[in-house]
Amino acid sequence: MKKYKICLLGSFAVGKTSLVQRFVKGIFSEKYLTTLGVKIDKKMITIDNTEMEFIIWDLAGEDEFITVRDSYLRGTAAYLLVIDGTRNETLETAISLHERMQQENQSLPFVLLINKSDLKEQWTIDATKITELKQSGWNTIETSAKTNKGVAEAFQLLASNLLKN
Amino acid sequence: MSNQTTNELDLLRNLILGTEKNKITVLEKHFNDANTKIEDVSSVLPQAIKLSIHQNEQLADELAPVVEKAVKVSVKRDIRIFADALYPVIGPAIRKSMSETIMQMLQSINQAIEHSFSWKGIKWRFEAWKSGKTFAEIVLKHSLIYRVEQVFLIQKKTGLLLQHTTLNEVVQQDANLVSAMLTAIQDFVRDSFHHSLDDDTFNKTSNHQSNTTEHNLNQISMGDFSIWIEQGPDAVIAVALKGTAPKLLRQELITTLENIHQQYTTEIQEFDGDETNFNQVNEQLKHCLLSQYKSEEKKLSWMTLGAVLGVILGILMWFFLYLYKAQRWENYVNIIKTEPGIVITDITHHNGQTILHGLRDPLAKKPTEIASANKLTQPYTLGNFSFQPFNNEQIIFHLEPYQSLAKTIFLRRIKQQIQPPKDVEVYFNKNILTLSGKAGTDWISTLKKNIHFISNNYQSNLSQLISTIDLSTINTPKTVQLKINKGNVTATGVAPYDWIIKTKVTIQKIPGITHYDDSQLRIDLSSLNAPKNVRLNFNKGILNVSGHAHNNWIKKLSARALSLPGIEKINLKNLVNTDIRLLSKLKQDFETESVYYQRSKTISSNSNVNKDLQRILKKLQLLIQQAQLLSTDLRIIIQGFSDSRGNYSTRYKVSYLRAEHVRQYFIRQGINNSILSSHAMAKKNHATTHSSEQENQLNRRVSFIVHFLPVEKGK
Ligand SMILES: Nc1nc2c(ncn2[C@@H]2O[C@H](COP(=O)(O)OP(=O)(O)OP(=O)(O)O)[C@@H](O)[C@H]2O)c(=O)[nH]1
Ligand SMILES: [Mg+2]
Repeated sequence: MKKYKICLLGSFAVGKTSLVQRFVKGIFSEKYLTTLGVKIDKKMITIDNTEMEFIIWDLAGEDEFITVRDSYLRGTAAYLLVIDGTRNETLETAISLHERMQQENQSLPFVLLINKSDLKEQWTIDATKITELKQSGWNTIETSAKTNKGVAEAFQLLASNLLKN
Repeated sequence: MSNQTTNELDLLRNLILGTEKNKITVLEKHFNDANTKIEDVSSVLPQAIKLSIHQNEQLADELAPVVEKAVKVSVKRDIRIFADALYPVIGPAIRKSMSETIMQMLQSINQAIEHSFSWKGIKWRFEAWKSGKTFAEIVLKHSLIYRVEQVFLIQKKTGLLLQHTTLNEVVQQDANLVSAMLTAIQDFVRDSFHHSLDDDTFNKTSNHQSNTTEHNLNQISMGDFSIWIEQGPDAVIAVALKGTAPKLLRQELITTLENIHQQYTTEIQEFDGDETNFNQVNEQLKHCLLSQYKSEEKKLSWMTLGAVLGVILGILMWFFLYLYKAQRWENYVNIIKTEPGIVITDITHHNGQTILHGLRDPLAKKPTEIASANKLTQPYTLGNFSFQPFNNEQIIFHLEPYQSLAKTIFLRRIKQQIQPPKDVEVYFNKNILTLSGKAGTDWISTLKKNIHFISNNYQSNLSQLISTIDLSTINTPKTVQLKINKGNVTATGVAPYDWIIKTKVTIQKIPGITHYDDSQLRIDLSSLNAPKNVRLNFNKGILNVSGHAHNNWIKKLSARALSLPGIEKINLKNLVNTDIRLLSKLKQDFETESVYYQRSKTISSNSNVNKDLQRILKKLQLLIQQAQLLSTDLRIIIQGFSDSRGNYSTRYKVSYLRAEHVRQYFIRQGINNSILSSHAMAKKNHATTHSSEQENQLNRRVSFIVHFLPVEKGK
């Protein structure tokens, strides 16, 4: 069984930790406890009878003061970009983070997660921009850590991208 | 040269050299083409270099500056490549040089501790001897107390766990998470403090290397627990341990990491997340599961244990002795307080001395006697240990003399005064001074006169005293029994004459005796040693002796008997001297004997005669022996006889010869010549015709007569 380092990247409070919690432990909390540095979890995933182990690095979200450390990103096998549908600016952060990853390694698989889909009526995200990104080959998936919508699928999608690589 | 001639020459050349010329042209072209030149050189270069190296060192000399320059350029460009390349080599090289140094250091430690003969030193020395290690190694070993519980081998780039090993007994966390987290923490620390380290003014000199110098987190500690991390170019080794590990562990980590790098560089670099590729590494990681226990240190050493026990024992001993001393003292004081004739009024202590104040009757026991009777000053011994609770100098008595009326003391005093005879008991019967028992009449009457002065206000009772006749002054022999009956004394038994006479007088003087009867007392004749067949009877100065006795005893008797006081005369009429009786019997017996001879036969050839003579000789010897016993002289008259035949002269001769024959025989047999005399008894007028042959035969003989001579006076 192979192991892979997976990173969750995105602006602060977009729900990275919540998604991992949901995926790994099946729980969700309304409480916001910002992640300091990095939090690491582990989860087994099976795709087409292939077992793989995700070592999930839940990194602290980017804000005005904190930028994601390069060293954390080193050796990443694949990554999830997380944005908050209710905050349009989180997409810009995600794109800039993606660009940073691309500088290091062009070919890393990734998936864009548009989180908080349970609050879709409050979404302010630029839909045309999303469509553009999709057309340029981005995998996107709407998720909700709260309702568990699309969470497993997002990780599965990343896993199958990894295998394709 | 003109153009024409040139052309002509060419033509000629073409004619002669045709094909060769074309070839030369091709060669020329080949030589002048740079690309083909490179190809040619590259194809032969390795071989050429190889050959050149074998032949001489010129090529190496020529290449050296180039290589040096290349290395410099490379290092300048990116030192990391070079560092990574050198990494597996440098470690072992440095370590080799280090181990030399350490060996020397150990040696010197060895010498430093060489002469320490502490218990621990000796123990470790023994251990070193046993294990075959050097002493210093053992010393080092004992300074360690730690345990490595887990070892992680982590890919540096991804933080993914390459391999993990753990002690069986350790509760495991998820090694993958730990591995990633460790990496994250390191990254965090490095990223967070990297800047400040570089800005450090002291580091300015090495600024040009700042991008290559790695500032790594190599230890994380939390109380007793710590994680040690060692970085390699591609992998990180981390160990989780408890306690304080020695620097040696770091060395072990470095060595392990270097070895792993040497063997698995590409595998680590190309790690695709499959941990099984590194299963062989596990063995190497296990080497890092080091631990050292200082168990014997934690244990109470025997010496400490002994010391503690010793102290406890000492305290117990002291406590025991203290109690023992106190107990003895209390006993002693109690006893002395109850001791009659001693009154303790005060006890004071002064200069380590204890002073007892009070009164003491001189007749009371001495306090020191009581002390020793009560074992106060006697040492307490247990095996070799001896403890003297008190000594005599420590206890001082200030006791004034007084007269105690305590009954025991009073009795002691009164006994001193009246000196009671041994049969008299003096005691108190319900506060009444009582004397009982037998005592001499004199003593009792004296006591009665003085009792009022002595009894000191005590009532007295003398009625139980029995007045006795004191016969102790007359020295009664054991063989005499004296019976006393109201003043009448009767003596029975046997006593020496002296005593009998003396007692007759002295006994009359003893108070209380009215009459003395010694008529049944017999005089002691045992000194006469009378044989059992002799009876002695003493009566009125005459000793009558009767029965049988040997001459010896009879001879001594008179002298002995007469030496006894009171014996004036001895009557031996009824005493038979058995020796004299025997002598006369032997005489009679001897005189009945005769030696008979045959007619005309020569004397010596007569065999019957010889037999007779032998028998008679024996009888004669007995007779002489008995006579000697009685100091009696005797003469043996040997008489020779003859028959009636022949004339007188012949008869005389024959009878003499016969007597002489016997006498000579006796002499030959040792009989004293002087007591023997032989006589011819032939008759002058023998009526030969009337004599029968029988008579004649009887007359051909020798007979004997014995004479005892009266004892010569003075012999
Ligand atoms: N309604 C709703 N709330 C969500 C969802 N996901 C996260 N949240 C909430 O958003 C807040 C932030 O979530 P986190 O998971 O802590 O966000 P984060 O991206 O880890 O934030 P940092 O660690 O600060 O970068 C929390 O209060 C969550 O409860 C979701 O899908 N729907
Ligand atoms: Mg978080």
